[in-house]
Parts: sequence; structure tokens; C-alpha cells
Amino acid sequence: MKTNIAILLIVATITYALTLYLSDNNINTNINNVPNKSAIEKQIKGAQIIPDFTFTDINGEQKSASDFEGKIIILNFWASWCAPCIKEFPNLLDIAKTNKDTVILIALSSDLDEAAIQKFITKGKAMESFNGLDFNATNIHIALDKNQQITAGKFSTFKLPETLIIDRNQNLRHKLIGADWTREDLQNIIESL
Amino acid sequence: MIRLLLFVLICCVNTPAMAQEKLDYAAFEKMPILDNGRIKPLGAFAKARLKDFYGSDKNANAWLAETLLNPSEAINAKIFLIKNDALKTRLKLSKDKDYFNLQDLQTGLQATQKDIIALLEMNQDELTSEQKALLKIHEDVISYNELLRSFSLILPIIDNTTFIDLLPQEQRITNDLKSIIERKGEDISAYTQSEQETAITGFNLQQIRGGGTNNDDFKVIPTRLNNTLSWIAPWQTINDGQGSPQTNEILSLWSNIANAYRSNNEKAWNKATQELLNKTFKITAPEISKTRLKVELLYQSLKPYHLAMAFYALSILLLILSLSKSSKPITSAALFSLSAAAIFHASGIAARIYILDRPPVGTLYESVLFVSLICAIIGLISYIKTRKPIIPITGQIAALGLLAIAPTMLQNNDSLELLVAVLNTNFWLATHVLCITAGYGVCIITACLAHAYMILRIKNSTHIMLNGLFQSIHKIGLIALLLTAVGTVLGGIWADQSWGRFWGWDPKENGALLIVLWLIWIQHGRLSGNIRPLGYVAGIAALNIVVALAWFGVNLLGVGLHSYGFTSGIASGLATFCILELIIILGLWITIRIREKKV
Amino acid sequence: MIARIKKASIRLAEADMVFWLMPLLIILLIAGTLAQRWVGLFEAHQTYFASFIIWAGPVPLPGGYIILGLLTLNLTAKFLFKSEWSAKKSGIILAHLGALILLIGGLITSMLAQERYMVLPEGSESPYIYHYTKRNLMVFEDEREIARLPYKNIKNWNTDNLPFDIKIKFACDNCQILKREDTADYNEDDPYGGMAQFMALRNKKSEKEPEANLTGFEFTLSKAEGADGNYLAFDGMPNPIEFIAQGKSYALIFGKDQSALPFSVALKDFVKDDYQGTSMARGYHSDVVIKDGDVNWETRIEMNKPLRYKGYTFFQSSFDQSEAGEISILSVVKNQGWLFPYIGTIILALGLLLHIILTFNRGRI
Repeated sequence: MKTNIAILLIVATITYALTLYLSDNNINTNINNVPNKSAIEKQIKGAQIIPDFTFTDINGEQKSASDFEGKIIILNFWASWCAPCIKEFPNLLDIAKTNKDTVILIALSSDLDEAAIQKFITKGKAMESFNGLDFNATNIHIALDKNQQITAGKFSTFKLPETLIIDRNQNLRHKLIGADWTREDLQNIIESL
Repeated sequence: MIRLLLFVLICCVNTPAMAQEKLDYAAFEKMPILDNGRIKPLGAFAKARLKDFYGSDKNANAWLAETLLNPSEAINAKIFLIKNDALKTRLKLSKDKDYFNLQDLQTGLQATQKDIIALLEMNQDELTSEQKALLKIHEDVISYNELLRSFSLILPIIDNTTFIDLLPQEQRITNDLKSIIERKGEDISAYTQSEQETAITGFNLQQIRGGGTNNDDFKVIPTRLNNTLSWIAPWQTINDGQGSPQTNEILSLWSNIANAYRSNNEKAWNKATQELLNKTFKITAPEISKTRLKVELLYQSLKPYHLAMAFYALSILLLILSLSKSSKPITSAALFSLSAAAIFHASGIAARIYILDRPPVGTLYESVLFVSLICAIIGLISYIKTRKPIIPITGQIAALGLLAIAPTMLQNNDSLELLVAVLNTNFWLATHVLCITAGYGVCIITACLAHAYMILRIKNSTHIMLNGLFQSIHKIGLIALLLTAVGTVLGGIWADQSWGRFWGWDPKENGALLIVLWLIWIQHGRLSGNIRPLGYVAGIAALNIVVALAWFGVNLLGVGLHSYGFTSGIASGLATFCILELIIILGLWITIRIREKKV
Repeated sequence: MIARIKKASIRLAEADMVFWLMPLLIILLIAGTLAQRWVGLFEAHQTYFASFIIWAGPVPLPGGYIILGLLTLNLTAKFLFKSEWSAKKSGIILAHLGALILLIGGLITSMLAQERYMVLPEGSESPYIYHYTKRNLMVFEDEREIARLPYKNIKNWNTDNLPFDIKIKFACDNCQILKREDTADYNEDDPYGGMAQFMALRNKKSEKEPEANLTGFEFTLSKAEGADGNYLAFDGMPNPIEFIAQGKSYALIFGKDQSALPFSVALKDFVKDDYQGTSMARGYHSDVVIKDGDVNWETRIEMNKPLRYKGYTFFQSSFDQSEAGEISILSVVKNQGWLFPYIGTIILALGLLLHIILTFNRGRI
């Protein structure tokens, strides 16, 4: 009987002691660290390379997407009759200006003809929101995509606006659907590539 | 519904051939699709859907291909099964037929449309079987319609033009049509030739777009953007801005498949389906495992549990035979049969583990499969060691019975279900569930042995096997106690790890505890002499009832943290079983007492 | 005397005690489980398992504490007085010890354990933890808490030592809120103040989970400068009742009993992870920061992976998602007896296993 009383007391004491010990060493024994959100992009698996396409911008220059390998391409599908497209346009121009050396902006319009584009640009130059922004910078190409051959035909974009961000290896990396994004969002994306 | 009729008219401009059953669906059925939160092979998807509508999953691949790629013909198929006579009357359907197609159902469904809204607001448990059948047929038709129109954007409308081809001009055509109607009204016969063409095209576009609205169920298109793989339905490339050069490629491959199918070109079909499969795997490579898809297809077609059940039945017969005529060929055959059954059963469960990537006892259905296997394995091991047939006979009977009732635990035709968040894999949870279900299995076998003991004792109260049987019952009963006791406290440990409370007097916890307490009670009763050996055996036999209540009964209460496995309609089965068992055990006990008193 | 105690103890240690007590426990278990369907877990728990006596009409029946208490005594007596160690019995004795430790752990837990919860909107920080069922009225004088009146005791609230008076008109454990204009209470000489002008409380049947109840009461405030009138208070009322009395400003807030941790927890981000293509949760977690003096510890709390810090354990309990943002609800448990069940389990498992091995080796029972 005495042995068993002793056993019971010993077990109870050990358990209690362990409880105290374990609760003190919490920070080290229970490292529930936030998993490393590796900011470094790992090797892209199964990334899609964009199809090459050619366009003639409003300055008459003919270019291909592959010409811009080595730079980040912001491919924007828009139209002058699309209100959200006009709303986001200043942000695009601004980002292109801020990242002059690394980013190329290609804005393909689904308008009927170039005249509509020119009308939009003329109006835009006078608008408050476009203040200080340059439509003619060397890294900006605005072009007409007749019959949506590239917009719909190659990129399956059927609703405007859509902004595609393509990395230096011509991989399609991000897609912004609609105009619901801020300058910061786009800048962050560019910096992460 | 009117829209559907017109859809019929429009698509009939292109008249394709009849259902293609002779095509090779090997590549087609392997195509991965996201359904119900899980990636599964298209073949499994087809089987589950067809079973939902039609009651059987024969030729599911051919059915799905026809539905997706040849919708204008597919709508003629009588694939909707309705058995409820009251519903047939309400929908004005012929009573001596059970299978109907969309056209048959059209009027009836339209008429009952408003009833559905009212039904959906009612408490679903209180619906009559006719109301449930009405809800089901509406849901089935909606689901079927979505499948029919999933690829309408790439299927040819007139000549070889598809909706996507016309899409860039949609705005212009709609505007033109509007002005035509303004000028000349809606009577198409008043239009010029070109105006008529515009009108028809415009109308087609409208119809097809309508059918594509919210059509996002058939998520078979993989799209990878910035390392994230997601699955979308074909129409989402247009409606939700999910299109990209990649989806463009995939859709054109589907076009090839559709063309091959409609022209019944076997070679083109094989080539096109294989090409799409290869492309899909290339895009989805790290996440999607080809092997897993193949295993699931195999699992669905082989039906391992049916095979196991057949062999269990065979084993029982052979073992009973060996009771009267013990001979080498019979024992060998029995051993072979037992092993075969166990192997099929175990591989079925192993397949589930591989497909779902989790331990095998997450749902009620799975627990029944597992407990059944435990019973079978105990029987098998006992037979290998002792060649005595009693334990294996009881084991296999229990195994067979459990496998037979397993399908009733399923809520729908997809037995590979997802788990709620709190059940997601965790070491303590896995050990707890495995331990306690193993405990259930051992309890059941012990209880069955106790039945056998009492039956034997009625036949001959001094049978030589009785003593050995009693020893076995006691020993296996101890194992049952170990497993259920440890399983119960492991459950407490899991609870402590998950929500900080070791014991909450929750129904499922109480149920498990009940088994342990019962075992402890009859053990101590026997030790103290208050329960005599026969009473002890009867108590063990009653374990069947206790386990049934703890395992299934608590789910019926529908309360507490453990009510994850809903079981509508199980209540009557459970009650019947318990009452029958009670009568049997009491009957056996009383009979023995009376008989032995007389002596 | 000692001899008598010894004799009684040895009697208590007999196996037939189990034979007589176990059926009582089994019946209690079944009754308590069935009751949960009708009165909910909490009340069934209180009535059947956390009680001494259960009243079946006029007849007193032993409750959980008594039955379990007797079984514990039996087990203790058995272990202490009738467990001579021998090779044959070692398994069983060990198993009994394990069970005893489990019961002791259960006793310690029921006495010492505290369960609270914490509500953290994304981006916020708080040291406050709340009781699941206890509610009280907190009185603040010049923004300092000076009194806490428990709802349980609302019939006996005494405001004599406060410079204003509160007289309870009506209280409801679970209330429904009606529009004041729909009720016939209005009396020009007896004005309503605050929200009571637009809302009225009426009794409603209690929810099965008492934490889901909306508890509240209506009262008359007097001796407050210019603010005298009829007011109401209820769980989670958006604004405190504020007034001035004897030159000091007072505020009244009613809600779940609130206490503060010795540190605070900030929620950086809550994430609900759904199964692809569905809205069924696969899992969810909260990325939090523990702020304790100079400790700024970033860590994650998710389903089945709690956070343990300074004797408190934080579990991801549930959440709320709305347009206003995401809110993570954590349950906070402090239980000094938490280790006992673990130790008890190990000993129990070893004991049973040992006994089985010994029994099988022996051949006969």
C-alpha cells in the first residue's frame, strides 16, 4: 500500500513539474513561425510564353512583341469607348514613365479605326488626369488592333480593359482584369519580376 | 425553355451523326477536371453525373462526349430517371415509362417552376419524397443544360463559324439588328436576304450567349498564371476575363476533338484527345499526377468492394462446408478465398488513400469500409494460425454485412468526398480514428463470436469447442477494450490539441466512452461474481448494439462538434438492427438458461 | 477509528463497486447525451455532468460529480489498498493507475480550467478576452472602471455606493428587439433616453448555445443630471450609456465578462483557404503578433495548430467575413491540469498492452 501511495504522489508531482517546465519554455519549444513567403520567385513551372504578334503604332512604327525581349511588357487592351479603360490609362502612362528603362507599354485599341484613337489622345492631352503624362515616350506604343485580331484572336480577351504583365523572358505572368487596380499594385508587380 | 427549342432549331442546321460508342475513350476519360473541390479524371466525372441523372453509369464516357460535343443530338437521349409516380402525374409524364428526355420534361418543368422557389425555402428534412424528387429533377435538368452548353462557344453554328469567331463583330451585329427591327418590325419575312442573315446570326449570338451566362460548372480548362494553377469552365474565358493565349490553345484542341467526334473519325479523335491530354499534363505537370487519375479510373471500374464481397460470401460457404467435411482442398480454397477478399478490400482502401491523399477514415462511409476490413483481417489471421473456422466465419459475416450497408452512408454518388476544415489531417486525429475504428471492428468480431458461442451452447451444452471459444472471446474482448479505451482517450488528446478541451461530454465522445464503460462493467461484474459466465458472454454479444449506437446513433442526434457525418434514413435501419439483436440475444440467453435448468 | 476507515477503504476497493456504479454512469451518459438534442450542450452539461444532484421531479438522483466521485474513490482505494504488485497483475495495476490519473486530471481541469475567447478584426490589436456565457454591466467613472455588476445577480443589484441609481424594470436572458413605437409603453412623464427611444426588448426563448443569446435589460436611471429616464442595455450594444452625475462623467457598458491578458495580440492577416472552386473551407489561419513589452513575436495560429504562450493556449476557433472586413475568433484556454490526461493515457495504454501480452502468454485466463 505504501508503495502505491508513493507511486501516485510521484506521478502527480512529476506531471505538475513538467507542466510548469513546459509552460515556461513556450517561445522556443513552440515555434509556430509564419512560413517563409519567399519573395524570390522560384523557377516558373509551366509558365506560358506569349505568342508573338506584330503591330503598327500610331507613329507608324512597326514592331513585334519579340523585339522587346529583355524588357518587361505591359500589354493593355483598351478602347476609346470603354470608360474604365480611360480611367486607368493615366496610371499606365505614369508607370511607363516611372520605369522608363525597364518597362515597355503596348496599348492595343479595339477601336474601329485610328481616327478614334487620335481623337482620344487629343482629348486626353487636355484632361486633368493626364497632366504631365507623355503619350509619345519612346517606351510607349499605342496601336490599333483591327478586328481584335490580337486582343481576342491571340490573347482571348473579350472584355475590356485587361492588362497583361509579361516578364523579360516573354512569359505571361500577371493579368489585371478590369480597371480595379492602383498604381501601387502595378508597381509592386513590376518590382517583383 | 423556349430558348432551348430554338437552340435545337439553330443547331440542327448542322446535322451530325448518331452517338459514337465505338470510339476509344482511353485518353478522353483521363482528362483532369476540377469538380467539387477536387481534381478527378473526366471518366469518373462522367460516371458520377450519369449515375445522378440515369441511375446507372454504363457508357458514361460516350454519353458525356455526346453531351458536350454534339448537344443537338444529345438532347434526344432519355437519360432522366423518374420513379416517383406522383411526380410523373404532376409533370404529365407517362406512368409506364421511367426514362425521359428534355423534351418530355419541358412542359412539366415549366409549370412547376414557381413551386421550386417555395420548396427551397422549406426545411429540407420535411419534404415528401415527391417534393424531393421534384427538386432533384429540376436540379438535374439545370446541371445537364450547363453541360450541354459548356462548349457552345466553339461548336459550329452555321457552316464552320463558331460563336468565338463571331464575337468581335457581336456589337456591330446587335446594333444592326436593332436598327433593322426599328425600321421593319419583328417579322422576318419582310427582311431582305442580307437582313435575314443578320437577324439569324444576331439571334444565334443572343441565344448562345444566354446559354453561356453563369456556365462555370465544367471546369476542365487549366490555366496557369504566375505559378498558380486554376481551373475554369470554357465560358469563363469570355465571361470572366480568364482568357489567355494558353486557354486559346486548349480551346482549339477541344475544337479538333469536337470535329473528330462529329464526323466519327476514329483516327482524328484518337489523335486529338491524346494531343489535348499531353498539352494538359504539360501545363499542370507539378500539381496533377497522371498516376492518381489512372488509379481513380481503375478504382471506379474494378469495383474492388463488390469483388471483396463476392469472395467473402464464397469464403463463408467454404468455411461452413469445412465444418462438416474438413479436407485439404476445401481449407486451401477457403484460405485462398479469404486472402483474395482481403486483398481486394485492402487495395480498395489503399486506392482511396492514394487518391484522396489522407488517412482512410475521414467520413462515415470510410469508417464502415475500414471496420469491415478489420473484421476480415482478424478472421484471416485466425484462420492462418489455427485453421479453425469459427472466428473467420464470424469475421467474414461481419465484413460482408458492413460492406453491404456501406453505400447507404453516402450522400451522393461521389464516394470520394472532401473533409471539413477541422478534420483535415492531423497526427492525433488520424491515430484516434484508426484506433477507435479498429476497436469497433474488434468489438464486432467479439460480439459475433459471443453469438456463435450461445448458438453452439444451445445445440450442445458440453461441446468441446465451447471452452476454447470462451477463451477466445475473453482475449479478443481485452484487445477490444485496449483499442476502444486508447482510441477514446486519443480522441481527447486530439480535442485538447484542437480546441483546448480534452473532454467535453460531446455525443461522439460519450458514445465511444459508452463502449469502454460497457466492457469494463461486464468484466468487473464477472470478476466480482455478480455476472456469471453466460451473462458475461451475453453482455459481450450485446456489444453489437452498443457499437451500433455509438457509431451511427450519435450522428442522428445531429448535435455537437462531431456531427459531421449526416445520415438521413439511417434511423430506421439502426432501430431495426438494435431491436432484432436485443431479441436474438435475450432469446438465446433465455433458451440456454431454461434448457440447462431442466438438466 | 483508523481501523474503521481502513475497513471501509478496503470495502470501497472491491470490484463489485464497479458492478454497481457503472450502470449508473452508463444511464447518466445516455440521458445526458440524449438531452443535448433538446436543450443544447451547455445546459445538458450543467444538468447532468457538472452537477451533484439531478432532480427528476421531486426525486433526487446522483449527478455526474457524485457518480464519478464515487468511482474515483473506488479506483483510488483499489490502487492504494488492493494492488499488490506481482508479475501477473502488473498490467492491470498499471492500467488502473492510468485511469486514476485521467480522472484526477479531469478533476483538476473542472476546477482550474478557464476558457475564454478573443475577437480580432484584421489589423487590430487587443488584450481582451471574453467569457462565453457570463455577462455583466461595467460602470466607468471618468473613463476608469469602478464597478462590475454580474447579470446573474441582476435581481439584487445594489447601486447605493454609486452617485446614481439604477432600478431594473425588466430583464431577458434572450431578447428580441422591437421598435419602441410598436409597443404600448410610452408615457410622457416617464421618458426614454438613448436607444430606448427607438428600441424595446422583449423576452425570447433561449438559444441552445447560451453564448448565442442576446441578453439585455431595461432600467430606470435616476439622480443623473438631466439624463434621468428609462434606458436599455444589451449584449454588444454599439454605444455606452453616458451621463454626468455629481460632476463626474459616467459610462455604462453591458456585455460578456471581459478580462485582460498580460499581453496583447494583434491580427495581421486572416486567411480562409477554400477547396478549389468551392466555398467550402479547407482550413483557415490567423497570422498574429504577440506584443508583450519588448517581445514582438510573429506567429501563425491555424486549425489543429494552436499557439501556446505564458500558460495560455490560443486556438483558431472560427471567423467572420463581411464587407467590413475579416474577423478572426480565437479561443483562449488556460488549464494547469492539461498534462494529466496525456500522462494518464500513456500509463493506461501501457498497462492494458502489458496485461494483454501477459494474458496471451499465460494461455488460460
